[in-house]
Amino acid sequence: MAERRCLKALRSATISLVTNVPAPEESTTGDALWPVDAALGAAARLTRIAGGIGRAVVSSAPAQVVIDATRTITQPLTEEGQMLREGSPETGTPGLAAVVREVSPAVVDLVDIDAIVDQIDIDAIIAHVDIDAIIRRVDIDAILQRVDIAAIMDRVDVNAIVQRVDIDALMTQTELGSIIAESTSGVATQALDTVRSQGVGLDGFVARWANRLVRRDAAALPPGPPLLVGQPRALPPGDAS
Amino acid sequence: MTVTAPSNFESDVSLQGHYAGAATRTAAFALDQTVATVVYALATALVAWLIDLVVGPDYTIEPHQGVAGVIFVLWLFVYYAYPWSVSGKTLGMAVLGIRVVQRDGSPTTARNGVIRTLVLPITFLTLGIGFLPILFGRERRALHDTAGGTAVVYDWNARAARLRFLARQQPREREPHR
Repeated sequence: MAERRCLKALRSATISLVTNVPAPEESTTGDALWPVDAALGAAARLTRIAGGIGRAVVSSAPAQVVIDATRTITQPLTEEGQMLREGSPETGTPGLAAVVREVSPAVVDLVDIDAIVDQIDIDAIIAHVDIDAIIRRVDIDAILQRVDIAAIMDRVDVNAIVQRVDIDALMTQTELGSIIAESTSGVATQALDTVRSQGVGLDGFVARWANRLVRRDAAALPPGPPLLVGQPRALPPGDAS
Repeated sequence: MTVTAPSNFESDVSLQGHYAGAATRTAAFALDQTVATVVYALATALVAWLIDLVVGPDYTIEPHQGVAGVIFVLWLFVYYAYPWSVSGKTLGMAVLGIRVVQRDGSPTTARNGVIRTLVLPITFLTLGIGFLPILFGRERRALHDTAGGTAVVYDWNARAARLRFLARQQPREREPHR
């Protein structure tokens, strides 16, 4: 227990030393740890003083002479280290970077990614995501303005869609039929439809008997005026060859 | 005798614009004659009442039969010639869903309407022979059609009628069975 407290105090003191930010509260309080805190505070102050002295020394002219001399002396070692890091094209020796690139895939293959993924609770992560906030940040209007509706409509074959619509099913299975029925289901309309349909049926009956009397093929007759039903047949059906 | 059921609008759709048959044309003509006669009778009764109102009950008016006949014929001429010239259909034809067109299917003109109306009585005077081409002619044109350069075709919107029929079936099919 005491070791853990010491570690916490040491961590806080280190953070404070590096960042110049006041240390967390656990390092500033606690009567039992005052010797440790005092020691750490002294060490931190000494470190700051030493750092200032070091920077002053390093920036001085004699120190620069010493540094340059050291750099000159260690030049062969520097070149050999650089060669080791980057590799030598003359000897074909690969550099450390190349070695790492070669070795990395094999190392990655050794890692069981699936096992790692299995340990991750995706649902928990998703639960933390605020979808509404994300959607609020999306500018739908801007996206829609970039969509060329006309181009999309040009690519849609409306006629083909209409051809696929089953009008009969539409009328019998949807409310559209009820709407039409309510608007046109007057007694007069029904009576007219019935009378006309009966008349057409009776016309067909009479015409069949008339054609039978004169032994004439009804299919050879023109169905109606050319402007209303198209051009009349030049030849009866079957003789067009 | 087989007559097309009222619900059989399927075949009627394909008959739109085709030459109308004898039964429909006869029914339309009968309806037109009835309407024309009733209107004429009502009009003469109204005129007689107005005259009686003006001159009083002491005077009795005996209309000349010849004059009344001429007026009736003139009325019939107007009744048929005007709609045939303007819209191609009389009241009876509109009810039965047929229309007079020119032989090629284009709308009728005043000339077509007037000639057709004038020749119509002659068709009757042939003792019905003038009507036989409606049954046996290739284009079902009676004598007055041939003279006026006209033909009679189906004109009612059978497709709309079929949709109305289907729409009427829907509530019936959805009724719960008792």
